This record gives sequence, C-alpha cells and structure tokens, in this order.
Amino acid sequence: MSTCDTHHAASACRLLLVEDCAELAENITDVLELEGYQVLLMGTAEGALEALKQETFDGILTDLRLPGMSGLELIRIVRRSDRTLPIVLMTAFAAREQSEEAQRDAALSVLLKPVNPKHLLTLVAALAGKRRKLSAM
Amino acid sequence: MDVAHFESLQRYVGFGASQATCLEHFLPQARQHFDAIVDDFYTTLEAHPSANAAITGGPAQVERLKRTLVGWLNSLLSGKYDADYLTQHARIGRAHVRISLPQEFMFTAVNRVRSSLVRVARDLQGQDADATIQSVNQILDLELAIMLDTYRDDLTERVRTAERLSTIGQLAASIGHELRNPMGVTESSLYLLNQRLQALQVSDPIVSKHSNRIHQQVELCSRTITALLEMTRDTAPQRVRVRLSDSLARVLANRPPTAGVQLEQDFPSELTLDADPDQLDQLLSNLLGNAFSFVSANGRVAVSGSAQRGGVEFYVSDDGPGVPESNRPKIFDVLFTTRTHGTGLGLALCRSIVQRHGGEIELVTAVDRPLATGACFRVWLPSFGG
Repeated sequence: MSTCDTHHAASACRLLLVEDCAELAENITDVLELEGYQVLLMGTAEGALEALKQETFDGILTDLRLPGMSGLELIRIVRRSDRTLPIVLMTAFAAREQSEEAQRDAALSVLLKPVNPKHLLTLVAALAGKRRKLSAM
Repeated sequence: MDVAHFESLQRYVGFGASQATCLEHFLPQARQHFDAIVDDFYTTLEAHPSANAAITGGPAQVERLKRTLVGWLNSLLSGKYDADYLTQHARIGRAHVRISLPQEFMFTAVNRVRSSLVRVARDLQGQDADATIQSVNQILDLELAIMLDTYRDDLTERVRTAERLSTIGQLAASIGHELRNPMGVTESSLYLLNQRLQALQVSDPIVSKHSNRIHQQVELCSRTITALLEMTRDTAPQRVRVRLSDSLARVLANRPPTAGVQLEQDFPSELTLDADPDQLDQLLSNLLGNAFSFVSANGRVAVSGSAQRGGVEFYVSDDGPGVPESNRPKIFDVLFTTRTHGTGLGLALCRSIVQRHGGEIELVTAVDRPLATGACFRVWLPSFGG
C-alpha cells in the first residue's frame, strides 16, 4: 500500500472502479491501466461491496449516481470499517452535501465530471500518498 | 397599484380634500415631534430580534433609515396625495421586500407611528383634534394598503422567477448530468488516443491541432453546463471582504476584452465589497461579457465604482447600441435574449446573485457615466458594517 504513490510501483496498486456508464468505465480503466494501476470494474455499489468482501483494494473510484445504492451510501458503508481508504467520488454536480462530506473525510476527494484523465491520475496518486500519512497517524 | 385604484381606496375610507387639508395644517405641530417619533420607532424595532434582523447595515444604516422616516412623515402629512405620492410610498413596500422584513412588522411599525401621531393630535383643541386623529388613521390605513399591495407584487414576482428557475434548474441538472458522461468519454478517449500516438511515435501537426480543438470544445461545453447549473442552484452567498479590482482581474483573465475593445477602470484600487467571491466574479463576468459582445470592434467598456449608502455601488457601461426601450422591462427575465448565441440566463443570474446579497441591480440611463451612449448597469451591494 505504501508503495502506491510512487509512479514506478503503480502496478502494486489495486483500485476498485464503480461506474455504470460502460464506455466511461472502460476508458477510465484504460487510462489507469496505462499508468500501471490494476483496476477491477463494478457497475453497481452492491457489486462493489461484494468485491470488497472478497479482496482488498488500495482505493475506490465511484460514481455518485448509480443504479440502486448511490456512491455516497457506498462510501458511508465502507467508512464504517475503513476510515483511511482513499476514495474518489465522481459526480456531475458538486452539491454542498458532497463537498461537506469531503471536508469531514480526509481520504475522500470529489472529482467533477466530465472526468479529465490528467486530473484523475493526479488525484489518485495524491490520495494514495495521503493514505500512507493517515495510516501512520 | 395605479392612481385610479389609490383614489378609489381614498373614497372607500372617506379620505378627501378636507382630510388632506386637515393633515397639512397638522404638519407644523407634528413636525416638532418627528425626532422623538423616529427614535421611538427604531428603539422599539431594535428591541425585536426578528424585526431587527432585517437591519444588516448597523448604526449607519439606522441613521439613514431615520432620515428616510422623517422624510416619509413629512410627505405623509403634506396634504398632497397624488401619483407622485403613490410612486414614492410604493417604493417603501418594495424596500421592505428587499430587506426581507417580516410582513407583520409593517402593521406593528405603523401602529407605533399611529400612537405617536394620535398623542400629538390630542393636544389640538376640540373638534380639530378629533378630525385630525381620524385623518391620521385614514392616511395610515391607506399607507398600509399601498405597502401591502407593492409588497405582494414584488413577492409574487420573486416567487414567479424562483419557480421558473426551479423548472429550468431541474431541466438543466438532468441535461447536465446526461451530457457529462459523454463528454468524459470524449475527453478520455482523446487522451487515450494521444497516448497511443505517442507510443507509436506519431507526431503530426494536423492531428495535434484537431486533438487540441476537441479538448478545448469539451472544456467549453463543460463550462457552459457548470454556469447553467450555477444559475439554477440558489446558493446562499458566503460573503467575505473582496476587492473589486481582484475580482475584476480574475474575470478578465478568463474573459479578456475582444481585441480592439478598450476597458476603462475608474474606482479606488482599495474599494472592497462584502460579497461571495465566486458569485461576484460571475456577476462581473456576465455584465462584462454582455458589454464586450455588444460594442463595436474598437468600442469602449467602463467599470466605475465607489462606496455608497453603506455599501458599494458600481457601474458597468459601454458605448454600444444600448438597450431598446421595448426590451428594457424584460432584460432581467429568465430566457430573454436578443443574441443568436445567447442563453437568456446571464442577466437573470446577475439579478439572482444581487438579490441573494440583498443588493440592487438596474439598467440606468448613463448620463453621468463616462460612457453615456450604450447600456449602463448599476449594481449596489450592501456592506457588513453599513
């Protein structure tokens, strides 16, 4: 985990992507994999929770609006057991509720859609680094 | 309320020429008590938290309001109850909507004035006293009728605008959401395409040019959607002290004047406003954007401003064609535009931002401004301390 923020060791970094728009999910996966990240894609928050039971991840990227459970609910459930797991919440519209949530939660970032690949990569790298600091505290 | 309606209300309560004369004769005597009446009025108001909440400008604002109240009392007992009177007094109803004074306080406040004036009138001799007290009661009730009428009109207008915005807001939010994923796909596909070309060591100026162009256009779409969503979410301003010059510099960095257009700035460099910085930027950006698009290739646009009436007043004016008389009442309406590529949201957003700040915005005749020929917008935003 602590190696996740260095560019060379991105291959050691496993990310869970939760996005229901197939084309966007595929593109984000490609962008991340090109940088060496390993990505598991889930189309729903329920699927993501199942995946989290099976294996460990170094970070989650989730859409806000998902069929069924929302991204925000997913985050709340994950936070019950893991307070430092880096999470990126992707949303088309940063409402006050999400900004406030992100302010309270040091390991949560809000990424405004349309997702800009360069912003995404910077954010993922930065969050992974932050996880190291938060875990050490 | 129009003059005919006002006159019909006068007849309803039996207020005619003799009552008008009676009040006119009462004025010199009453005037000696105006300062005491006004002091009592504001002491009572300040003691009531929910009424006092409407006063945001501190002691300086109260001093101004006291002078306004003296003017109002003078006019109330002037003996002239014509169209000018109606216009002037209708403005007071609007001012109360603007500062969000709870409506019930119009009655209690008028009652306070009524008690004071009746007390003074009692000192008159015999029949004079009775007639004067009755006239005072009649004119004050007419006054309440005017205030209620204008208050209701303004409130209705606000609710109507809010409803239209909310409908547009829901539409905008869903369109925005639906468009953001396709734009994200376009943006990331473009990124992946460029990564691929790099890996294949392909370097071609035409490919680069069009790749940049796609990227810029996606950014533009994204900004438009953000502005649309910004317009429709009614965010309470997070007011802080900001320099007008800083806001203007930020806006000009994003929206530089069209080549050839001159921008003149005429305000003290240290002029500060108490406003939400993002919303102030948006306000200036929309006003300047309009000005830049309407002036000729070598046109002039001016921003001038100064501290005024417990706040800051600034003007954005241009030497373009101006706003035709027939469009003037509609320019702040949502979806009103005269431009092919206009959204009809710009000035509506300006008005919404100014209202959220408790300020004023209007299109004025720019006689005393540097650029007197084109459109001139006056904005006044209140300051914390008055």
